[in-house]
Amino acid sequence: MPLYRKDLGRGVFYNHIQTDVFKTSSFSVNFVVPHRRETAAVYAVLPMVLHRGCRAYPDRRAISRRLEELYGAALSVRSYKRGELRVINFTVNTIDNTYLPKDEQIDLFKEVLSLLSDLLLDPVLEDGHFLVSYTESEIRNCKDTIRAAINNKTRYAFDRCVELMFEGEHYGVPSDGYIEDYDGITQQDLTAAYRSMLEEARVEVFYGGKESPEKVEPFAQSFFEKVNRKTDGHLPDTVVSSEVKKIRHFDESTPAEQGKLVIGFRTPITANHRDAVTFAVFNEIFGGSASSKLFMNVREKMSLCYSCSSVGDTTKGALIAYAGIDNENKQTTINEILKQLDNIRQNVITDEELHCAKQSLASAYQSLVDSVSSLEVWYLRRILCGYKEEPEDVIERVHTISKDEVAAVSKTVNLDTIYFLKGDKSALYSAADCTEENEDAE
Amino acid sequence: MQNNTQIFEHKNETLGEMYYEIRHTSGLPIYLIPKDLSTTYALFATRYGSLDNSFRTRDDAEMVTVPDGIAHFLEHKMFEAEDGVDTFERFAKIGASANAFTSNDMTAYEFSCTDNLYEALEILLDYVMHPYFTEENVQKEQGIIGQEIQMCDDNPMRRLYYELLNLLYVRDKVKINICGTKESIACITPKLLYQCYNTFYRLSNMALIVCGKAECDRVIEVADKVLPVQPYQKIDRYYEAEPKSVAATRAKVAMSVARPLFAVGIKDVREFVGGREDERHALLLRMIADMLFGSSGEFYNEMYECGFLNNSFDASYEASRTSGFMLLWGEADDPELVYSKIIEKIKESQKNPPSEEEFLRAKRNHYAAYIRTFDSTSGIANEFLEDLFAGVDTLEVGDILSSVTYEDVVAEIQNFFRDERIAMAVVAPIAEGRGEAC
Repeated sequence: MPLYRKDLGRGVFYNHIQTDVFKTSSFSVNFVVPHRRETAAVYAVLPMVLHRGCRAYPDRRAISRRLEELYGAALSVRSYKRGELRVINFTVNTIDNTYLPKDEQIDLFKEVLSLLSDLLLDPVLEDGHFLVSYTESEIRNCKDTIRAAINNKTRYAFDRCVELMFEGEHYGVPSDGYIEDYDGITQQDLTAAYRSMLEEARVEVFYGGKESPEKVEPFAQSFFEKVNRKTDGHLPDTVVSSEVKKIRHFDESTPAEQGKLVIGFRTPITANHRDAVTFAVFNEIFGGSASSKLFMNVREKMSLCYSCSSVGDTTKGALIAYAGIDNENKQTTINEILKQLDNIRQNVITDEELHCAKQSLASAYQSLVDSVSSLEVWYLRRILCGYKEEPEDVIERVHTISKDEVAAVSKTVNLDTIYFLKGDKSALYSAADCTEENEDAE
Repeated sequence: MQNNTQIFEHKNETLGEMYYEIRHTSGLPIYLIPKDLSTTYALFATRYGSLDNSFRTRDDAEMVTVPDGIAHFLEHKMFEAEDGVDTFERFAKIGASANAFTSNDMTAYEFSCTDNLYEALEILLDYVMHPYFTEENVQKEQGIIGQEIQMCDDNPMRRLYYELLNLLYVRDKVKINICGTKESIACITPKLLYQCYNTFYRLSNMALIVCGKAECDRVIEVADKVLPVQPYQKIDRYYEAEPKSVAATRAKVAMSVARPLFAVGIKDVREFVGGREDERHALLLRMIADMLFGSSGEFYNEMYECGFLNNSFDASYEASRTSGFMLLWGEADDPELVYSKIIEKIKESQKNPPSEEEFLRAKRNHYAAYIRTFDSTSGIANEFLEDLFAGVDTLEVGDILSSVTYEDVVAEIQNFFRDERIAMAVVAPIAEGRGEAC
């Protein structure tokens, strides 16, 4: 199902995915702004504060009740980094009216859009600013979220490696910024960020479901009618810096059983590069699947770990390899990961490895159509990275790729940063555990 | 060979969903759920999980007890083949992607594909029917699973979960860690693995579920080709009687976390018999969890506004073959304060139950969640499998949900919550936990 896309003017774009295989429909508004340290914190807080209430539904409880009345309609609010851009996403999703009791008159989709419109455009304000109580509590929640990153050691090590590796670049700024940046946020800052999001961000609206564009597009139109849009929606490019000045090593430690090794590489190949698809095939062979070199060697042959994989981010030109290991196996694992990369560079790739990688990628692209949200993520990425291919075009290209091309692409991948989060067992065991007995048991 | 395969159709007109039940001549029940999506998803599963560590068949002289973590270990080892060809690679070659998981009451092998469905299905049935365990490959796996156990030990939510289960249960096996421990998996041998395999990987104890663009005839053709005919064999499983009270009321462990994480559990003392009644009971308790502690309720919103809870808080009800409990967990600076507020809320709801309007909203919410299940082949197949092993037909869950009444809610709130059935586990930041006496 191809994407219907229309420029509604002043930087607002409407995207429509028509499909009748699902029992639900979804509608989302994505505000896209540059990802910068100066605004990361305020843009992390803003959607959370908007989620606290609007004039018609002034607190979270009222919003939740309304969603339940609308037969469990779902509202999700997310704010995330995509390359050096930030996407602030509001999505609503409802079951189709077909599945309601026969005597039910409510138009779920229309009602849920009206709720979304209220939340975005008619927030609870006091003297023109967001409520102090909402702002303060959401600032506290955002800080807690940043602190809680350490709870997931794998994710933490991964993000920390990216942060250190891209220090000084916008890409290195963590998705929600830094804790210290939250302290200075004033009511004025938040209101200004809100106005700027509404008036100056690029807006990408998506619909996925049974309805035709003629029926849904007017809703998208009406959303921004009252907003004084001041932009054509132009966004700055993500800066690609593939040159490695010096290989850097970082060692940190945390009380844990297991160590986490993260290795960062740079590449000039980004999503709109002619070798982007070859890069995807390369990553499948390297560490992107359960038949990859990393999985087969680091895990299956050498028994060094349970998980070992690699992931590419072609919005920036980054490749990150990861393994959860015993501390003492750090160097062995680094050597093996680099050896596997070297093998690909030397064209030590079997026919089977190439074949499996292509099959796996083709299958992943084919299954995009099975979920509206995956399609939306894929299309939004395509729009933001500026390439034109449909999933079918990519599949066709995947099948033409040769080992030589893969080897050539692997030579553009340069080691930049080795990060190790050591598992400090001694700190773990010196801590006291205790259990309080229940004398009444049995 | 005489082919006694029979096919039955099951439909739900309101949902617009149906499935074929194929009683295959081999003894394997097969369920085919047609779905017009590009991904087809299949699950080949056995009623065998971490709960099944004591058992006996007519081949065993006496009850057999095996090391903790062996069902999960066996799942890993099924990917090993005698000819040395890697199973993941067999799937990958035809563009299918394979995986597996073990829970407390099942082990399931899955694949998803967009092409070559019947080839993938043949590989799935073939590799699960052909175990290959050697001293060498068992030893290799001890290293890999050892790392998996460490990874899980470092996961604070998982630690919290098992700490809570150990508080709630004195003997119920649901508290056994699915992966086992480094010590328990060190006792696993090829002989033990074969014994467990021969007991639980019998077709009458298993099921195959295929969801997507598949045809009955061709699925049967693959099953005919790969599966031997296996007569039914009875498996006696041994469970321990569980007291009604919790084992202990508090546990606290220190880990590298930013803020304390807490999990409050309320033990269900019902006799679990399987089938529709258990399903109805689980739905009822999920709705109660929603009404008392969910995002549209007074409790959560007041606690959120005061900063006592954040959006990591979740309220649910979990059930296994032998047990069930309500689970309320999240992050909080002061878990004891949250605990006392929870108890207060429970007492208050026993005096003033939620309104009928709140009940109707909770019901709508659960109905929508049920409808959403049908939007993905993996979602449908997993739900179907879980229901099947619990003795429930997924197409009937909507009706079971409708049958829950407001009166049920009011009565269950009185009945379910008892002081001696409540416990709380806490994972505290290390700096706080160190040297602290409790």
